Amino acid sequence: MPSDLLEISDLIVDYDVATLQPRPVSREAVVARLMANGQRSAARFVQRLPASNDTLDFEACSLALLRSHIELQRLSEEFLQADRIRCVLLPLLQALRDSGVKPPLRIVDVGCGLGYAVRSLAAHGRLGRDVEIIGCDMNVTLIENARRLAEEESLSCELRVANAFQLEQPGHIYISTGVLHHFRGNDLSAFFAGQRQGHAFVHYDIQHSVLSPWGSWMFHQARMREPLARHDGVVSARRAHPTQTLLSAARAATGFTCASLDGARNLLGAMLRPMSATVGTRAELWEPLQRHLGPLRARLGPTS
Amino acid sequence: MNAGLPVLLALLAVTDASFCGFRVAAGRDARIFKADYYRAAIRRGMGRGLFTTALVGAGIAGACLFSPGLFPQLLVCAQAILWVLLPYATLTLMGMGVWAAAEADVRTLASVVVLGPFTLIRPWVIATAAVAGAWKAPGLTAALVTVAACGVQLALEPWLNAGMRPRLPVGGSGETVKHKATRAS
Repeated sequence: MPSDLLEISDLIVDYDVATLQPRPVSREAVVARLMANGQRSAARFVQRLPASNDTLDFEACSLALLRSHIELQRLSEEFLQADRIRCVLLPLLQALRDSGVKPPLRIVDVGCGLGYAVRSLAAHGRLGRDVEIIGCDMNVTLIENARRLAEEESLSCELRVANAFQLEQPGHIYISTGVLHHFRGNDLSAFFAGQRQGHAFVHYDIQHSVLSPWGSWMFHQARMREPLARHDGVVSARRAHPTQTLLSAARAATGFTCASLDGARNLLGAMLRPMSATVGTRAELWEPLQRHLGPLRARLGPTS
Repeated sequence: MNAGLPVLLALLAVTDASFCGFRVAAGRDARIFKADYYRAAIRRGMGRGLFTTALVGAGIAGACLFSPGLFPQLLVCAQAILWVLLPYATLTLMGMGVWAAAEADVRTLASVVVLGPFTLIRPWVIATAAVAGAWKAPGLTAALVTVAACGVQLALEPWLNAGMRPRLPVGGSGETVKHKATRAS
């Protein structure tokens, strides 16, 4: 079972899901929760964050998250995460076109953070003129900065402070990177249920393996400077779901045909591919997807 | 051979400094296209590496002028240092080569097996080289010079890191952006 350790980034900012407005967060409550969970160093970190009348300073917390996400992008770049997503998206888009889905084909990145995947796909994706790429996140600071980055480089993508599952025009394909491990139980089911309106999804997350926490520790020590990023990076790896948990939740909540991509079968597999994907499509799209996947098809696990 | 050892060490020092320059810049700029940014960072590291290497070299040359027996002693230290540094440098450069040339999975393997762990152990490798050099030193002065030169190399990355801040996108001041959350449903 994945660990129930808490990530600091999940606790120090909070949003009203309906209005997307930030809600005040009590520093003492977060510290107490972390202490009760046995995470003393994380509690000490939160204790040092600025607060007024016990309410954590939203600006300071957002800035810490922003710095962490900028650092995190460096790891995504090193592990060629955007390329990996693109390799699955291209055949998936072709399958959608073949099945007569009307353009524009919308790809929605759920919890896109600084929008690295969205911006990188817009920059290098060659996904086609009939494709719209939309990144959604509830963190205003991250999205505002993601927009500025996209504008600065004239990238054709959209970044919204929004609930990805409540867009006026729902996505055809939902994608995410490093988001799945944030959800447990009913929340995980709800996450997948939100995608029933779409045609397919590709969700990358940290590979569940005994090596992952060690590898994550090493890379976060070697590459990251932010204490928040270093802490949450290792906790993320420990919270990563086993492939079967993800497939069961995805299948039950969406009814899609699902399989894992790059799910490690041994330790070498986990070293080669620190991230694995949960892929799902409507039943009628599965066969065309497999046809277009080419050599990637061999890396799909059994369907559920 | 006598001239080759110091030149080889200087070359390693400047190469290491260039990597340091890249490392302190990495993770501080979230743009997609940033080859120029990285090139400038590597140049910055290389520049400071050349400066410190020249400084250390000049110091050693000056010391050797006053103490003619020092140079052969330092060559003994240099040899010991290279026994530690050369395998590390060779493997790192091979890892870099693989990362630059190979496909995604092999690149990842190079990162996981070589580039990540080797970044983490770099300070320990330099410290080990200093200990090995000092251990083999025929005299106290040579041992001190060896430790000092390795210390300068270790100090290079914190020096490059000093004052470096994440580059926030144009228009981003680091202040929190006003909340103009537009609900899209």
